[in-house]
Amino acid sequence: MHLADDVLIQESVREPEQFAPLFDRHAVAIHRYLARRIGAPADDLLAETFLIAFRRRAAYQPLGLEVRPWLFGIATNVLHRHVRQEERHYRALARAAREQPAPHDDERADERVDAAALRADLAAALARLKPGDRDALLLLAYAQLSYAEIATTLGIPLGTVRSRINRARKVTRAVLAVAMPSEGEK
Amino acid sequence: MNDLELLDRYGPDAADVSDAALASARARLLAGMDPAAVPGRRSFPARRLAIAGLALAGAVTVAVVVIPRPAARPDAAPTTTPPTTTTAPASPGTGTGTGTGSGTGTDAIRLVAATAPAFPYTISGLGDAVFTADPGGPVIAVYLAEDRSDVYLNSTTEDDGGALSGAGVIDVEIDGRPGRIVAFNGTADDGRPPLTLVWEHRDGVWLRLTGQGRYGTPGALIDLAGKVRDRPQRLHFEVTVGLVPDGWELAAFKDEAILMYRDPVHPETDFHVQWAPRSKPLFRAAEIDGLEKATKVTVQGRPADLFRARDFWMVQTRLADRSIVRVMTPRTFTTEQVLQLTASVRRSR
Repeated sequence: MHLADDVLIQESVREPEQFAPLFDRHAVAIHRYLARRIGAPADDLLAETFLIAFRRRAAYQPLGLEVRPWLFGIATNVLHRHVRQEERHYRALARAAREQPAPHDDERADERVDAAALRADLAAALARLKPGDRDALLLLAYAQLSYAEIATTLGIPLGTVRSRINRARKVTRAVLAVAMPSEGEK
Repeated sequence: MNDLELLDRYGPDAADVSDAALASARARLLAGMDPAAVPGRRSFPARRLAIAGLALAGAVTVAVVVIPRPAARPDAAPTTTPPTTTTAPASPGTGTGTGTGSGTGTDAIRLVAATAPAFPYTISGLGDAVFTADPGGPVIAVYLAEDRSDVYLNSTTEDDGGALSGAGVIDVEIDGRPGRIVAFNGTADDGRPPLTLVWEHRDGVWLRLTGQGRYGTPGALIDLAGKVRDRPQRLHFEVTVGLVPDGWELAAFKDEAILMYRDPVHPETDFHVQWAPRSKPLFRAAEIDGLEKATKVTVQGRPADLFRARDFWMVQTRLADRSIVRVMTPRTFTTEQVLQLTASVRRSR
C-alpha cells in the first residue's frame, strides 16, 4: 500500500514506524541538496534532518506545505548552524576548480576548462552571498521550490523571498554574464 | 537555459550518496524513532542527533579546518615551547595497558596504551559488518544486503526491552530468555517494514536487532538472534591510535577515517584523529581557524606541523605511505602530549 507523504506523517504521530518510508522516498534528494551546499558533512546532516523532522512531525501542517519542501526547509535550518563551514566549502571548491590541471589531448578541452572556470566562479559567488539570500536562491535552483514554498519554509513574507532571490540572482548572473555572455544575459 | 538552470548545472556538485551513508543515516533514524517513543510516553533520545558527529564530518572538509567544539577550557598561556623533535613512544600497545606516565604538567591527562576497539558480537552467516557510532550512542553493526534486507545489531539495556509495550509487541523467548518483538503495522515503499527484537542475550546482557526486508519477520529475527555469537569483531580503521588519555573511550567514528575519543567524566571534552589519503593536500596555516602559532616539528622522524589555535591544538603529518594524519585536541593538552599522541598513530594496512 502506498500512502501519501502527509498521511504517513499524520499516522506516524501514533505509530512512529510510519515515518521510515519518508526517509526512503526523500533521503537521496535531501542528501544531494545538503552535499551540494556543504560537502562531506551531508552524511551526518542527513540523519539529523530526518531526526528533527521526526521529532516535529506532530507539528506538521498538511495543508500548509508538502512534505518534500518541509524537509528541505528543515535541512536548510540545519545548515544554518554551519554557515561558515558552507562558505568555506564553496571557497575550497572554487580553489580546487581553479587549480584543476588543464586537460590535453582532448578536442573538448576548451569546454572543460570553461566549465571548471564557471564552477569556480559560481562557487566563489555563492560564498559571497548573504546566508538568507543564498538559502532562497538554492531552495529555488537546487530544490525547485516555488516562491510561496520558500516563503513558508523560511518563515518570511513572499515579498522578502522575491527581493532575496533578486539580489542573489544579480550576483550569479554577473558571474554567468562574464563566463557565458550568451547564456547569462538571458 | 536561464541562470537558475546554469546554476543547477554548473554550481557546486556532489557525488551521489553512498549506500553505506544512506544505511547509516537510516539506522540512526530508526534508532531515534524507537517504536516505543510515542509522544507523551517516552522522550525522544536527543543524544542521537549526532551533534558531535557533525563536527567530526566537518573535520574532513578539504582545505577547511573545522574543529569540533573543543571542549575544554583553553589554557591561558601554554608555557611549553614546542619541541623541534619528538620521539615516538615505544611500540604502543593495543590492549588496555600501563600508563606511559606522560602527564607533564597536566594532572588530568595521562597518556596510556589504548585498547583495541572491537564490537563484541558476530552474526554467523551474514558476512562482514560495517559499523557506525554516534557520540554517546552504542556502536551499531550494520549488515548491508544487496536487496536492502539490512540488519542492525547493537547493545542495549533491559529498559529498552521494557519500553517496548502496548499493541503490536510480541513477547518471545530466545533460548529460554525473554525478548520482545515490535510488530510494525506501518507501510513501506520497498518491501517489508523493519522489525525490532530486543532480548536478553546472556545474563544481564541485552541486545537489539533490527531486520528489514527478508529479515523483517519474527521468525527471521529469532533465527538471527540464535546466530549471534560472542565473537568480537575488530573495528577496523585506517589508522590505529596507540596512546589515549587514561580513562578516555572511543566515543564515535566515521568512515573508518575519523575517530573521536572522549573523557566519559567530562563528555564535552574530546579529541579527534583524522586520516586522509595521500592525494589530499596538507592544511596550510592560513586555513586554520583562530591560528595563534604554527611550528614545524618532527613526528615519527617526518616533518609535521603543530598549530596552536585559539581553541585547540592540531598536529598534521604524513605517514610513511604519504597519507595524512591530523590530531586535534583541546588546549588542555600539553604540546608534548599532543605530539606523543600523534606519534602513536599508525597506519592499519
